[in-house]
Amino acid sequence: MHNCKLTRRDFVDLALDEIPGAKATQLLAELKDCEACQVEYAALRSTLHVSNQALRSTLPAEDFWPDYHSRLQSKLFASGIQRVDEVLPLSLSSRAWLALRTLFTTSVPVPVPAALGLILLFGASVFLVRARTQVNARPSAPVALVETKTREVPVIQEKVVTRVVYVEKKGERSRSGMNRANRNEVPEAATGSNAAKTALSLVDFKPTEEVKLTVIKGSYKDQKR
Amino acid sequence: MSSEAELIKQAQGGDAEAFCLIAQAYERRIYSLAFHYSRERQDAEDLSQEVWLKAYAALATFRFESSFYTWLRKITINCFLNHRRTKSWRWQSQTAHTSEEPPVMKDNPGAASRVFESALQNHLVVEKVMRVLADVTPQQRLIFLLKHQEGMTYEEIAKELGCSLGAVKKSVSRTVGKLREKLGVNEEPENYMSCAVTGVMR
Repeated sequence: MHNCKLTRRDFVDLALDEIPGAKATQLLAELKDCEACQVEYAALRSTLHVSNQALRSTLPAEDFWPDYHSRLQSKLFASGIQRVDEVLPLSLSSRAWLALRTLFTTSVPVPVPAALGLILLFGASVFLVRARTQVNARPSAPVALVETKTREVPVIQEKVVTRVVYVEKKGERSRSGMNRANRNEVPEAATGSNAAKTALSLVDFKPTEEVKLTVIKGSYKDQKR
Repeated sequence: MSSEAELIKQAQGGDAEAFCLIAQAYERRIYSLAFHYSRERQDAEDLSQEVWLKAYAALATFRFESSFYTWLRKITINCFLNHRRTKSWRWQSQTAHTSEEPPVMKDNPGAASRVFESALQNHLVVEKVMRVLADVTPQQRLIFLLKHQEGMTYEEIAKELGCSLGAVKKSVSRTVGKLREKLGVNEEPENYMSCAVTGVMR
């Protein structure tokens, strides 16, 4: 699709024959369809034509040239220029010297950002090399003598002792009181068959719902005591 | 071998007369370029003669690998660039040529009037063009002249001036844009500069 703005961007190049054949043909075809672009292009070409004619018209008249040429001629003869061919042919050593001189005097155009980057890189590398050299050259510090001693320190150990306390129920307590009385009364019977008594008493035994736990803390030494 | 090549060979052999003959063939082009670049007659003469002196000094380096004029133009461009670096030119908006008054014919008043009108118009156009060239930078002016007057390609100009192709394109486009704006041409070129090439301005 034709875009006037985009097409006009190429007008200068088109007018100055800087656009290759295929694209130029395409542009010219586009121009045929757009009258505004056609007018603009014609005006641009006219501008170039006019400026070309104007520049030509500023050249000196014919009578200027003979005098100019004679002045140039006299300058050439009077200059006494040492021509390059008078110095040639150069010897091999001279050529090598010339090549070396050319190598060191030739300048290469480098974009400013690239040049800045190179300078920064060079600076950083110089800094790093210097820093590394300083680290290597620095005398090693005397190593401090550290005496290591092992000392045993008593560590408090915690030991949890759990005891299950069986508490008799109230009814059992009274019974046991009676039993105690019976025992007092008939101690022979009680002492006579101990195993049977124990079996009898454990049948109805039920552990209490309330359990009181006592945690005794202390060190190993304390326990020993 | 063409006569130019023969003359070059003779000049390379030390024949200054042969070199003068070569110079005669190209001196107008070099002077024209120097004049439009410097916009001063005296500067143009000094600059163009400096080009010829340098070309004579370096003639032995010409190896017939390109045309003589291409080689000469390289010297011209270098000379212009060096001259710009070493000398601050007076970039005036008026030149000796454009400030001249158009001629007046006294014998035939009607014809004189027409010629005068035409000459005046041409005079104004030339002045406008020269003013635009004065307004742009020396580099832009040189690029425009190399493209428009010398017919060099963008690539050749970029190579010679050591700048990018894009920079050359932009420079030419800017100068042409300024010319377009200043001249305000909207008609066929035939309506302008009818007598420009006939030397009325001289």
